[in-house]
Amino acid sequence: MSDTAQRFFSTIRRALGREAAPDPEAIEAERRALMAAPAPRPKWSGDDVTRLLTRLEAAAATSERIASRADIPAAVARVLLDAGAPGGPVQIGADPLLAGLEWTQEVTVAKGIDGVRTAPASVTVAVAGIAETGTLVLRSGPDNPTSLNFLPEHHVVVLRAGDVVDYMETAWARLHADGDLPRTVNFITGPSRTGDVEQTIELGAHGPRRLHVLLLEDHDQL
Amino acid sequence: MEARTHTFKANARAALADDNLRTALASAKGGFVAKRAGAVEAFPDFEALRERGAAIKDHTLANLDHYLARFTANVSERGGQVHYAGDDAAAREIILGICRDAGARRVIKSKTMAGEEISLNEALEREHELVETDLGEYIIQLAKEPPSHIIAPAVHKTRADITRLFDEHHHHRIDGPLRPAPELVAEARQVLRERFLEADVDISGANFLIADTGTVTLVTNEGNADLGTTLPRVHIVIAGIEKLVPGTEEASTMLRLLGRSATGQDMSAYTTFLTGARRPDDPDGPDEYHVVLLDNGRTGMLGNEFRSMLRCIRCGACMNHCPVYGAVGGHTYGWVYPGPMGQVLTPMFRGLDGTVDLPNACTLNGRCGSVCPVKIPLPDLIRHLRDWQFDAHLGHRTTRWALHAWGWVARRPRLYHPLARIGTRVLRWIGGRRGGAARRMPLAGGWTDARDLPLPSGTTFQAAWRAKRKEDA
Repeated sequence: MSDTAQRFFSTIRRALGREAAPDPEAIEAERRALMAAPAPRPKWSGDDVTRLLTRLEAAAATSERIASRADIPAAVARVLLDAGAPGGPVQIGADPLLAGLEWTQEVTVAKGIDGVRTAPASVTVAVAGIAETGTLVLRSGPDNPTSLNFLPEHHVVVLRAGDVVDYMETAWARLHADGDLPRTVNFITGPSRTGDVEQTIELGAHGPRRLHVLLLEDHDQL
Repeated sequence: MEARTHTFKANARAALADDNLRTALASAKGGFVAKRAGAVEAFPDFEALRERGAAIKDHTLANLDHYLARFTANVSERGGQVHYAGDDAAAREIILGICRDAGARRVIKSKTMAGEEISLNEALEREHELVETDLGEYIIQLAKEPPSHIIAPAVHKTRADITRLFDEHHHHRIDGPLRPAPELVAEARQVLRERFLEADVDISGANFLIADTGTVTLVTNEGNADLGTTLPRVHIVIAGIEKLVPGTEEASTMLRLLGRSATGQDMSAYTTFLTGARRPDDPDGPDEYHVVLLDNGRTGMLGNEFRSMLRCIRCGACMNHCPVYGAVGGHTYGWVYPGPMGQVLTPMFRGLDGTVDLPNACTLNGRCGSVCPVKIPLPDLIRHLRDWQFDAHLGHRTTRWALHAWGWVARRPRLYHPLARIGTRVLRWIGGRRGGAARRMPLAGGWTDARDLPLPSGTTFQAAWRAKRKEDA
């Protein structure tokens, strides 16, 4: 430990009134006791998928249910049409769920992050959806590069119905089960917004103006 | 930033005479209060959530050395570097050093209150092109002003102000027509997009630091912090050591409190968890990643009666519900942190001298304490600071003399009772003529200049108590 670090830690320990490093097991025991009671959380009636889509709508996102991943290109084409950019390009990463799809002829698909600065739209795949808040959970990496979630004005997220969980804690349990966390985990709840001009909400401050969720109900796919 | 805390009264007078500010504050205030109330109402047991949030923060603070070591180890393991800054000068030096080593020309910044606290902008602007990317921060950077609210930094600016600033800085014109909000937002998006793409370094703050995983959490709505922490090749985080929480489960509870208390959202549009630097196969993200941890007076509070203030998660609810803040705005407080949380933090960070008016600019109505998501007893802490001021012989001589005199009399019941009786009668007589309230009162001009003094309509409390006892018997 450097001198600066040592001074920093000894100042803290002095303030806490202790001489040396504390006993980690005692701290862990105290923490477990503290967290033993269930967290106060919102409750809802009805299924988790409906809750998720309702909360997303409240956060100004749009959504549709699709029966199979073969429906993705047509749904994305409609988003591009709404965006006034029917030809795309639409930017995607290396996620297997988006590989080998049959895109309509007029839509150009760009892979990776080259071109993402100018692409009007992108498609990424969420690893989970949180029903509690209508939140999409995305992991960084070659499958779904983070800049795809933020640079294009229109963001389409594919979420498998089977990946919808009830609460934030459940989503974390899943993320931790996949091993080390990636550089970035994005919790996305609606499109970009700002209230900095007279507290009126405007969409599309720096990130996407539109967030469209494709809820994939086919349980056999990937 | 240069502190103007010692001129609080003059600042307040100027603010009260500023019609533009009054318009801006009036339109903002109700929105914040109503949105929070709606979100809290919709939550099944918000009180239990507050209890849990306070307990999590207390546990973390009591074991801050442990969690700090854990956080550091985890960041280092994932390709990040942790730096420790004892004070503001050390933090500035570390950050400037990183920018120099990176050969940075263009630096962008996502809103950070710790950055404001260490006057980072002034230091960076001397050597680099610096642009704030949060829209509110960008607006006040153009206006060359400090933030006036911790989550809505440009809350004091009207649409006319913003139109003027954008016309001047983006189009070099004056006296243009008032522009609609969507147009202003779209223009800022376009101008700032270029800055994101060409920046070498991004500097962000942190809402939470998660010890178990070495993760920095950022909560935003605009997405500016996400572009900033993804596109430039260097990312620097500056955060106070009190931002630590043990793990992601604890962070989940804190997030439920933060959004609802700040903007009335159950979740902000973007909540982002950053763990280390870019991985070898990542197509984007920074190659270099630094976390600068700031003490700057925090350990002082860790070791005294003000530890509970370190629970603060910077939601802004206390100022949104404060009648004094609502009347005078954030700049009046004279330093980075305004409103009730600032009335405690500023004397702690800057010393009692020169901040004498802050703990006194409070009616002790208690709203701040009752809305605080982590149950910081703000009114108690403010009262406690008044005690400290008295003990340190600070404050006005007449006030101190009057308090001394009252204290002397109050400890002598045989003198106090008859004097109180006489006082009550005199006040009642005045009240009878003026309808229960006095507009002026000798020796209390400071109080009655700005408000009426309610006067007693009956007898003294003690006399009333005795009469009641007799009646009951």
